[in-house]
This record gives sequence, C-alpha cells and structure tokens, in this order.
Amino acid sequence: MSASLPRESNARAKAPLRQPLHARLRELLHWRVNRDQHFWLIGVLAVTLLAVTIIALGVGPVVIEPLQVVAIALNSVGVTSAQELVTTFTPQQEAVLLSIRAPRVALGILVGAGLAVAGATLQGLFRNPLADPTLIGVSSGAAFSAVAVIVLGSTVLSGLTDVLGSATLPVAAFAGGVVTTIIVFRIGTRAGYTDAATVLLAGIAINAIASAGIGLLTYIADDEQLRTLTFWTMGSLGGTTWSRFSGAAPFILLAIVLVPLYARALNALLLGEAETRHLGFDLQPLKRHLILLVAMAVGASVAVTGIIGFIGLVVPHLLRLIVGPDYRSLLPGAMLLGAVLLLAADLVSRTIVAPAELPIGIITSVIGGPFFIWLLMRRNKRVFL
Amino acid sequence: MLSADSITVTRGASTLLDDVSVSLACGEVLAVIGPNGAGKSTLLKVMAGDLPADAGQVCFDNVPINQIDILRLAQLRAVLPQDSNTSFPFRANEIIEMGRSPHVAEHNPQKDQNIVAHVAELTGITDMLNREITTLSGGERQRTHFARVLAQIWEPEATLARYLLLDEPTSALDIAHQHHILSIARRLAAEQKIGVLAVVHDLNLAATYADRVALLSEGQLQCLGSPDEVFSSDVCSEAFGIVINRIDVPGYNSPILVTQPNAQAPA
Repeated sequence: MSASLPRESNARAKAPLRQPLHARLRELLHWRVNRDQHFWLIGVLAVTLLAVTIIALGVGPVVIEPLQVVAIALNSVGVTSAQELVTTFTPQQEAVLLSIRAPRVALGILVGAGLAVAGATLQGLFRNPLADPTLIGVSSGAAFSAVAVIVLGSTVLSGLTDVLGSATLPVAAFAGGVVTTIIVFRIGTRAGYTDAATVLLAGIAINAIASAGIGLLTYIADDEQLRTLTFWTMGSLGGTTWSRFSGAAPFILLAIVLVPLYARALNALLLGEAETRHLGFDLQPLKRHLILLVAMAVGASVAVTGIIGFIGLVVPHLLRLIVGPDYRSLLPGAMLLGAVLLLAADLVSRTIVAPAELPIGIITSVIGGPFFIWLLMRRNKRVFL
Repeated sequence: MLSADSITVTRGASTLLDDVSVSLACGEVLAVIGPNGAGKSTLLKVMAGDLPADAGQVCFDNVPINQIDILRLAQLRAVLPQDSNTSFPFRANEIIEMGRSPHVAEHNPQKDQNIVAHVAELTGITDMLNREITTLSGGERQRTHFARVLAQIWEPEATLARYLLLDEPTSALDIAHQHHILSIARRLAAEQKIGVLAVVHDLNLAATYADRVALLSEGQLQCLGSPDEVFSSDVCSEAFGIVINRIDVPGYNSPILVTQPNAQAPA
C-alpha cells in the first residue's frame, strides 16, 4: 500500500505496516518491567501457585510431605541424589505422585489459566465485565456436543467415532464451543458491529437450548452413560491421566500464549469497536481470532474436565480491582490466579467428602454465584444485604 | 487532501447523504454544521472509513480509503466519536496512551510518555492523569478522549499529511473549554498542518474557529465556503428553520450570529 500513497506519506515508509510479532512481544515485556507497579503481584501469585501446587501434590489418601514432593520432582528430572540431598520417599509415593496427582494438578493449572484468559478475553470482546464462557453459552455448547458423543457415539454418531477414535470427545467439545460462539456472535452483530447486550441475551437462549438437548440425551442415556454425563455437566478433574492431559494441553496452551499478543487490541475494544478501528486494528479478523482462541481454550477445557463455571468471571474481576483494566497487566496475573483458584477448588473437591469426590463445578459455582450477585449489587450501587 | 466525492448513503427508503462532496486540506479547519438528522455524523463516519458509501468515494491524497491499510490509516487520521464511554476503570493517562497504539512498531515508550504528558498539558487535564475515567465528569472525559486522539497523530516534525475528525468535540464542555478545545484544533492546523474536520452545533464557535463552513441539511450540502459567505446568506436560516441574524462588530474578525426567538424562517 505504501507504494501507492503519494510523496508526503512516504515520510514514514520505514515504519512497518503491520504490528510485527516481535514488537508486540517486546512491548509486553517492557510494560511488565518498567512501567508497571504490579510486578510484585506477579511474584506473589507465582509463589502462591508453587505453594498450592506442592500442597495439591501432597494431599490425598497417600500423604506426601512438601519436601518429599520436591525430592520426587528432582528425582524425576534426573537428579539421582535427590533422596540424599532433600529427603527420602517410598516408591509408592513416587508412583502416586507421578502418575495420579501430577497429571491432575498439571491439568488443573492449565484449565484454570485457560478459563481465566478466556473469561478476560470475552469481557474485552463484549465490553462487559460480566461476560463469562458459561454465561454466553460457549461452555454449554461444548458440553452438549460432548454429551452427544457419549450417548450417541456408538449408534447415531458411530461414523464420527470411527474416524476420530479417542479424539472424538475433545474434538466434538471443541467444535461445539466454536459453533455456539459463532452463533451467539452472529446474532449480536449488525453491520460489522457487535452489541454486547444482545450477545449476552443470545447466550441465555443458547444455554437453554443446550441444556434442553443435554436433558433429552440424559433421558435416553443408559446407567453407565449417565454417570459420565453427570461428570460433564458438573465438572471434575478426577481420573486425569497424562494422555488426557496431553489431548487438551496444546489447545489451551496456544490460547494462553497467543491472547496476550492481542493485549493492546483488547484494551482498545473496551473503548468501543469503532474506536478500535480508528486505532488501527482490523476489527473483523481481530474478533474472529479472539473468538477462535476463546473457543479453543474453553472447548478443550470442557472436553477434559466438563463445565467449570465462574473462574473466567471471578479471576479477571478480582485482578482488575488491583491492577486496573489494562490487559497487559491483567492477562499474566489472570493466568496465575486462575490456576491457583482452580487448584484450590480441586483440593477442596477431593478432600471435603473424602474418600468420595465432589464435582469441582459445584465448588466454583458455590463461590462464584454469590460473587456474581455481589458484582451486580456493586454495579447498581445498591447494598441491601 | 482528504476528499469525499459525491457521497451518497441510503438506509432503507431514506437517504442519509445525497451526493455530498467535501474536501479537507491539510492545515485548515472545516466546521460541519446543520440541524439534527442532517447527516453530519454520517458524513464524518464515511470520511473516517467506518461506513462504506453507497455511491461516491473517499480518498486520502487520491488513494481510495478502502485500499489503505487500517493501521496506516490510524497513523494518518484520528477520530473523536460523539461519545466514547467505557465502564472499565482505566486511568486518564492509560486512555491517552491508547492513542499511541498505531505506533507500537516504533517501540519508543519514552516518546509515547512525553506525548501523553504534552497533550495532557495542552488540554488541561494534567491533574487528572491518575484518576479513573469512570470518576471524571462528562466534560473531563471528553477532554481526555480529545487528548487521546491528539496523541494518536502527534508528530510535530513530520511532514506527513494528517487529519483530525471530531464529532461534536465540545458537546459536554463549558463555554471556556469549548473555546479552549477548538483553539487547540486551530493551532494544530496552523503549526502541524493537520486538517481538522469538526461537527459543531454552536454557530458562533464555527464562525470563530473555522476556515470554511459546510452546511448540511436533509442529507444535502447546502452551502460550503468561508464563515463570512455561509453566514451572509439566508441559507442558514432556512436550513435550521429559525431566523439567524448576523451582527458584524468592528474589530472582531468573525460575524456574530444571533437567533431570534419564536421567529420562523422564511420558507
């Protein structure tokens, strides 16, 4: 384009047209270190995450002391003298940690971070601090298609399961998430501009339709399918294996890594879509990319853990109270806090009614529901409790 | 030169703009006036590239606007919409700094910070830089966003043609700040050769600060010329549907316009 602009415009021909990847990365780093007063917060959250991780790895029927966790971790990365250096542990402890607790904790960290980033991104896209994957129907769309695969996988949808094999469930959940997000967005978009209120209302409608579908499938499901179904609709990290983890990890990681590159664009979106365009962001591709990243993170999360609500709502909101709305500060903190909260919730879910487990979605909703109400009252500046 | 040639915009059965041609030269202030629903904002949106014209074309230096990269466009022109509002508690300096988004590739945060400080001082909001935008008054918010669009195209040394499109930039301001904001626009046009297009409702502000005035009515360009020309005819009274009398005060550069209460314009 620069070639066809006339002479005076070439004064700037040296400046690249696109915001190059390295410029965006560099800026993100610069902001963190120089300008931001919230660097300490990232440190505190990182240390908290480490502490919660060690506790989560140690708590359970087989107790593993924090130092033993460290020793086993060192041992597994090749430090053969770990037992002498730190402390001793039994082979049973090692086996429990590495093949049962570690994949569960790793998945918890990833899903927590992914849901928090997805929530923060949706709030930017819709310019609404109350947007959340469960509220606009992304989660229920993903859960609906997952449930469809569970119940109809061996009959109506057998063609699909033959082709995709064990990947059917995650792929279906992902596709369900993408499709519902696109539908909700299309309904809310007129002449290239998206109306947040319409999108949220469309989300309610999609939620209703998806839960009707899930209800119908529940009705025709057999006993074994029913148990699996319950897991999807209430969420759980139980029974996580490394293979399940690695099925979802690439999708969630990709979203976590790529969304921060859109931090400035998300800031601009909070001003308005027209303003975003005026500031040099190509609106339609921008929204498409962000929706795809959200659907990827949420779809993959729902595929392996079922619906876990409110993380995407609570985490960005708490952080905004401390670091402000700037996405360059918000996103790194949201990842860490999301991981901490989800791990903590999972810890509660498997200890509160031990040896049984409470679905984690119940715990996040018990905390998130009242929090949401508090937000609404705070917004209206009416306190009647 | 930012030129709009024979712009026509229709929405359903109604014609919002009917064959309107306006051009904005670097270094001039063009005021767009007209009654409510005349198509002023529509014209501004078309010239900003937000709204495609059904007929006609908008060109930056003879390059059609739809062929210009959006990021490049953001380096060429800044737009102040009628009402920029956010429920997210950004601080004023963060809002202004967003104006520097199109220049990320330069990676010169120090320069960005200097520009933020400079435009804040110019618009008189230095004291509010650390306050959250949601706690500012309507007028303070409007000045913050005005500072943001100034920051976007602030380049005192550049010879690049740049444009500022302002949709009712003074709607929430007291009388002193109305003059303040428009005199900044006036100075920018003179000092940095920026072309300023401003939709204004106050005819006296238009007469005082504009080099040229465009009068729109019912989607049509009724009159385009110097304030002296536009306000000397009856076109203005007809367009607004109220008698507008002109008073010329010796020693005062622009005409003073006074409306007559309860007087219908000659049909």
